[in-house]
Amino acid sequence: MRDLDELLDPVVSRKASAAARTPDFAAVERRGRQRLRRARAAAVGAVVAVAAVVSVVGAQVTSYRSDTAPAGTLEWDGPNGELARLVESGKADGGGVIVGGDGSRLTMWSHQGPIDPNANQSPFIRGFSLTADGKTYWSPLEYDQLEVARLASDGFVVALTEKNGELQPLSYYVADASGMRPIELTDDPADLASSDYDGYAWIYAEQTPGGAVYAVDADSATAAPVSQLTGVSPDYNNFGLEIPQSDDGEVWVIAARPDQPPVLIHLASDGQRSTYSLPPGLDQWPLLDRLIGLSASQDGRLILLWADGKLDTNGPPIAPRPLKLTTASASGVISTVDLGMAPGNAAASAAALPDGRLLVYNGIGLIRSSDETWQDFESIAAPEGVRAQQLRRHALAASDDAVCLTSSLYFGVSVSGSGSACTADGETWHPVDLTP
Amino acid sequence: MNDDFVRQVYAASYRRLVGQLYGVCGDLSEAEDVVQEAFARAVQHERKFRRTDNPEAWLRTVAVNLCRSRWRRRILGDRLQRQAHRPEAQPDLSADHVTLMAAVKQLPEAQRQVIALHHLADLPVHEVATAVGAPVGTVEARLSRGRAQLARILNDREEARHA
Repeated sequence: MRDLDELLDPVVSRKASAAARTPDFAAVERRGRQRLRRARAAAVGAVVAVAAVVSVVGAQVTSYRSDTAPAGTLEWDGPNGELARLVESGKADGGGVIVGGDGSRLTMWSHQGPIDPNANQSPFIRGFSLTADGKTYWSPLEYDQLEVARLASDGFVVALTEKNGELQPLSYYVADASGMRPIELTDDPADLASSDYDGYAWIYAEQTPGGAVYAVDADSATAAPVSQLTGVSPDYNNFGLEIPQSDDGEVWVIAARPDQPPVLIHLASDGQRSTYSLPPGLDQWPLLDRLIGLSASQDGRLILLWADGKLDTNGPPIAPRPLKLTTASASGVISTVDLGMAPGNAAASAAALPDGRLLVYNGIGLIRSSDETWQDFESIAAPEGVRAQQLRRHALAASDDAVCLTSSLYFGVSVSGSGSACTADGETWHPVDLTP
Repeated sequence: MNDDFVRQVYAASYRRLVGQLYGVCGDLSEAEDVVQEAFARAVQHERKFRRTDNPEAWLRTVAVNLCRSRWRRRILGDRLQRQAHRPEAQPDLSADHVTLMAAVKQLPEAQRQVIALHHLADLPVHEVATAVGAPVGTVEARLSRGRAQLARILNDREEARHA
C-alpha cells in the first residue's frame, strides 16, 4: 500500500472523467425542459396550499450557521431550538406542508401559548421547518402570522409577523438552506420579457398597500411589481400568497373589477396579458362562496374547481351543490365538466398525474379522468387506511413525480400519522411521513 | 436556440465535472447522473446560468448538493434500478486507488466532499469552499480531519489484511 500523500492523486478524477459516459446533450436538454415544466406546476389554491412528497425517511436534523450569508439573513435555529424540541415532544401542531419543485418541503408549525384576553394577537406562536437535501432547518418559534408561497423554481416565499403583542405589517423572506433572506421590494415594474423570475407571490407593501402580484428573483431576494396586473385583486386567495403559475412560467388569476363580474386573466411568460370570461355560474360575487380550488397542471392548463349555486348555510346539513371543473389552456380554450353533486362545503381539490390524467377529490371520494382531455371520470380507491371522512381534511397537489394526498390543512391537525400518501398513477399509493 | 451556451459548457465541462464528482458521490453512475441533472437545471435556469461568473463552479455546486441529498438518492435509486440492465461504469483504477476510494466512502460526508474535491479532483481550497458552501477555514479544518481519519481507516484495513 502506497503512502496516503501519494494515493491522494488527481489521477482518480482523471480516470473517472475518462470512464464517464457522455449522453447526447439533447437528452439532458429534454430533462431540463421537463424539469422546468414540472417545477412550475402550481400548488393547489392558496387557502389550502398543501402538498406532500415521497417520505424523506430519517432526514438528518441539522443546524445551519452560514458565515457567507448575505446581510439581513435570519439564521436557522439548530436542532436544540425551541421549535425543534416542541415538535420532537409532540407539543407543536403541523399546519400545512408545501413542496418545492426540487422536492424540498416547508412545514408550518404552531404552539399554543398562554391566552391573554386583552392581546392583539392570537395565543398561537408559529414557526416552520424546511427540509432540503436531506437536512431539516428550523425557524425560530416567534411568529404570529405565517404564510407561504411556493416559487415556480426552487425555493419559497415566507410572509410573517413577529409575535410581540402588536399588530404589524407582514415581512417577506426567501427561505432556503442558507436561511431566511429579506426580500427587497422594488418600485420598478418587473421586466417579464427579458428577465428570468423564479415565481410570483401576492405581496402587501408600502408602495402597494392593497396588495399586488410581484415577480420574485430568489437569488437576489428581490421582487418587482407586475405592471400588467396592476389593479387586479385576486380575491379568491383570501390573503394567501400563492399565485397559480403554469409550467411555462405563465400566471393565472381571477381578478375582481369594481361593479363588474370577475374575470380570468392569463399572463404569458413574456408579459402578454389575455382576459377571458368565467363560465356562467362562476362569473358573479361572492366568488369565495363558489370557488373551491385553483391550480395549474404540469402541462399548463388552469384547473378551476367550483360549486354552482349560492352556499346555503341555513343547515346543517348544508345543501349539496353541483361540482364543476373548468379548465383553460394558455391559448384560451375553456371548457367546463360536470362532476356531480358535492357536499355544500366540500373541500375539493385536483392535480394532474405525471401521465396527464387528472385526479380529483370531489368532496366524496377520489375520481380520475380516463385520459388527458379530462372529460370522463371514474371512481378510484382511496389510499389504504384513509377513510372517506378523513378525505375531507385532505387535499391533492402535484409534486415533481407524483400526486400527493395529504391532510394537515389547518393548524391544529396533527401532521404525523395523517394518512398522507403519494401516487404516480392513482392506483398504487405510497404512504408519506410528513414529520421532519 | 438560446441554449447554445449550456450546450457549449456541456461539451467543455461535462466529463471533467463527472471526474470531480466521482469522489464526492463515491459512484461513477451517480456522479454522471448528478452532473447531468446539474446541466438540466442550467437549461431550466438558462438566463440565470448565463449571468454566473463561473458556470463550471455553478454546476459543481449544484451537483455537490444533489449528491448530498438523501432524497435525491432515493429517486436516483429508483432510476438506477430501471437502468439495471446497463453495464456499470467503473474508472480504470489501480488496486491501491480502489482501496483508497473504499476508504473515502467511509469518511463523514463533509470530510469526504472536501477530500474528494481538493485531493482527488485537484481543486483549490477556495473553489472547494464555493462548491460545498462553507468558509475556507472550515474547509481547511475538514481537510485536516479528513486526512487523519482517512489514514486511520487505511491503516485499519491494512492491519486487518495482514491479520
